[in-house]
Amino acid sequence: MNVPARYVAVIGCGRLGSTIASALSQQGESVVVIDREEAAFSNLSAEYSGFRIQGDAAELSVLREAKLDRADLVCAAADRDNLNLFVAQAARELFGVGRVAARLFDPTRQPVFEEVDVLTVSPTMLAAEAFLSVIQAGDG
Amino acid sequence: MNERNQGTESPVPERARPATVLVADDEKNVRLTVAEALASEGVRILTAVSGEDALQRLADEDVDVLLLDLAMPGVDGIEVLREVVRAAQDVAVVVISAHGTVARAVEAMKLGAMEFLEKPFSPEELRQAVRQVLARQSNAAAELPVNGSGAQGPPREG
Repeated sequence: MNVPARYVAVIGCGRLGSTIASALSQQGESVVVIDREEAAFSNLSAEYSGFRIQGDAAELSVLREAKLDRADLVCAAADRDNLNLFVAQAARELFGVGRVAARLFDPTRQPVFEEVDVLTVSPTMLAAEAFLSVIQAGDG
Repeated sequence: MNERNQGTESPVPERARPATVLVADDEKNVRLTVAEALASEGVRILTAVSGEDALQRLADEDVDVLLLDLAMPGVDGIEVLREVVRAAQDVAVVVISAHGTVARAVEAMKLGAMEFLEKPFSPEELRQAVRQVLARQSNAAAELPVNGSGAQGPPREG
């Protein structure tokens, strides 16, 4: 416990958000996860020891409830690019969060995220790279 | 025996036995959060999954601090708090409540809760709250040996 836990907000508790939130919680970070659906929280691992907020992350009041102003890191892992962009932008510009990462399905929109200094993770690009490396390994 | 200074730097005030903290919350992840946050504090941690469970634990164990979620199905936190006050139990109650439930938290403070934590709270906020109520408890024990009830007046602030 030498390093104080960081406070991390994860938006979306689907397959991706729940995996990120569970892993960070197990690493000892202080985590809050937001999802519209109460049922989504069942995706969290049994060891998850953070907080859960049921609500629409598109509403600023929900982001305030999650105390985004105190977050060290925000992961926008919802299943909609527009929501992730909104949350990422609000985190950077309204709540002054230092590090923000967002899931981005449509790689062509990456410049919009870069404009607000948000790191993007594109499942499409990652999957494409993984496929190509599998195919190239098979060729060898 | 007691050669330690009163003003030691230890996180929790010195006492004859480790302080016992009971966490009553129906959400398992909150019980885990609390247990992890307090693991370094040298306190004994008990958990209760409901209001009924909390009352049973309070009857069976010598609890110093009760971390009490207000929103629990069945016997809720306010009812547990009323029971603690009615039985004049010497337990410092820290209320845990969700965002936007300030009115209920205020009600709990009026009933005699000492502190309130709004979810989501950081491990450090939780440790501070527990240290504060334990310090106040040991001060009260040192300064008011005659007053055995341990009853605390409601806070006067608005």
